[in-house]
Amino acid sequence: MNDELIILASQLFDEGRIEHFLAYRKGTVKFKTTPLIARTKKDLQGLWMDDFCASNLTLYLKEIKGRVGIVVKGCDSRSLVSLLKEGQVKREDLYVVGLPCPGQIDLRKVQSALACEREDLEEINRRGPQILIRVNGQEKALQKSQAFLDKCLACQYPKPLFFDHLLPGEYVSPLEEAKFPGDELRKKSVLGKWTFWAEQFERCIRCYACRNICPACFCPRCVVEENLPQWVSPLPTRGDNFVFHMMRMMHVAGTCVSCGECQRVCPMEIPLMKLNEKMTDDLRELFGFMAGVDLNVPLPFRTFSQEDPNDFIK
Amino acid sequence: MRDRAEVLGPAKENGLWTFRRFDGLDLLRGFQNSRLPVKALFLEPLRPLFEWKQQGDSPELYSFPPAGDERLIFGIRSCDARALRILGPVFARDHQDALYLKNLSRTLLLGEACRVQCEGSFCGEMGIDPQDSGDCDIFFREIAEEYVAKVLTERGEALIGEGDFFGEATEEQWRSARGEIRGSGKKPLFELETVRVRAAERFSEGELWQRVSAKCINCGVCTYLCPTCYCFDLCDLQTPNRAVRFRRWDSCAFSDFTGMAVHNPREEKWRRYRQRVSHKFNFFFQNFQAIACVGCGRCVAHCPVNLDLREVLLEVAG
Repeated sequence: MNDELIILASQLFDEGRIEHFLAYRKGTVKFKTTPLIARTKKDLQGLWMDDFCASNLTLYLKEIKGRVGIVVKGCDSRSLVSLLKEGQVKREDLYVVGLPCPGQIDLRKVQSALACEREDLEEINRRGPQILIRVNGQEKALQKSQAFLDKCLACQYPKPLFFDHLLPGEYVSPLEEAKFPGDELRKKSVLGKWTFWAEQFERCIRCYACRNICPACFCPRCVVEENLPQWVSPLPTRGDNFVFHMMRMMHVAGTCVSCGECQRVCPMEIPLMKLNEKMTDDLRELFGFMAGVDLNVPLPFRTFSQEDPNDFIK
Repeated sequence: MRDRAEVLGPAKENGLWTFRRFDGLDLLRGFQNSRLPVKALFLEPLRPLFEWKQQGDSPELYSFPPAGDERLIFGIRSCDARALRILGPVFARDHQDALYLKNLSRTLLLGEACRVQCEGSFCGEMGIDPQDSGDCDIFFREIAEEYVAKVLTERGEALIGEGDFFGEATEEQWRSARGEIRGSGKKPLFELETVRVRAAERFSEGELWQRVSAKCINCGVCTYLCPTCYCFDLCDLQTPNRAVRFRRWDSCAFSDFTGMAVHNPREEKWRRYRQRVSHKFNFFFQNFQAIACVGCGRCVAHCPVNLDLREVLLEVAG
């Protein structure tokens, strides 16, 4: 697969169809690959893809303009749909290569299920429905549902929604039937929810990794950095952190495709996807909308409708 | 100690290691280094400095003095302890920072030897021995049911004299308590002196810095998780009759870090990334004769895009 892709990308460079190629290369820490941003054929040498291609590379389309070749998993392709709708990329500038994905490992889930540290994990292999893991020399097995990212358990789009080339492999969801993990938090009272989030946001350090990794956060200047007026204080207090995260979530409503990168990269392990999932569900219930699946359906927060049930907008 | 001081030790909360008030009896074994460096307890992420209030006709100023209570932190790793010493002159040489210095002087530092090499770490390359430290008051090595301790300061000496917990140990016992470190033993990745010299020589090679920073996403993970990054900003929280000035962490990775009214000298991210590396391995050395990195590996392990400082240093040295 890697060789095939190197040949393909080299051709694209040769033919002048692309100026950049976005793929993966081997990571320097266990169970991770790292983004590869190739500007020339020579840069393709390190190209490497395995079962740990968790990153959503579409994030770099914020920065890398012009003709770009990009490798996407099914879920990542939803970000492309969103970016096309928002006018952030042009279809004719993209050369989209589909990558088959066996489901991505959630290292935090694995660590918690096996009560171990990241340093203890020696090997992770997929074997049928099981994930075999060597921890400090001992073999352990987990079910996919115990080891995969939530988004992979709910995977409905294993195959990119559009592409120019598909790499060989199986484009199937990791679970035969998509399983949407329930969120116990929803059942709690407002006070219960507040208590939960107050504790979570208490430890936010405002590193903005969630915002910066997000393909849907493409504003050249974020409202967080505005100081005339200052919409949100830069102080990492519980209240300001809360405002920041709520504002960010509302801002990406309709373009967030639940890729889960914000939660995956949060160094303080704040379960941000609980917010995004709630927002996604609300959009589905209130507007019958699902982000990043149909180019022709307008974005709910960018659309005026005469039939809007709320009369304040008329 | 608990009778007269705040005692903090490693605890796992919400999936990450941190330092928390220790109320237990049994010391924890097998803990990993904290996600945020122990620096966060000395240069806090957020710290009020002073307050202004309108009282009747006249404004009044109040300051938030440094906390004076004695404090003991145990379970500190050699890397983080060294980092506190590296930061010392920043807050003491040209300007006396009462807050940082008071935090240092009020705290007893109890270190503990590592038994596992942290993901991403390169402490060896940075001249840190994960099983020994000269930067704590007492340093512990774990053995079967006990610890062997090395007392390094008078304060440490006073502490062990207090209770009935410590017996005499021999030099040989201390030596043999040096255990294996799981996951280590690889040969050094780079030679620090070469990195330092080359970082200075190659400062103006824009192409190099553009290449190594290409995938950086400009977030603050590497700087905020770093035990030796110390940049901060001053921010005010204002209401009509009251205002508080805070100090908060800031990061050179942020696009507006050096933004001024008409100009930002580090508009592009490669200039900001170059600043981070150069500050640690070049400028800081020029100013304080030390390298501002202890190789703890947090920036490597937690970078959202696995932009590995070790790889960058190798490239710079090459």
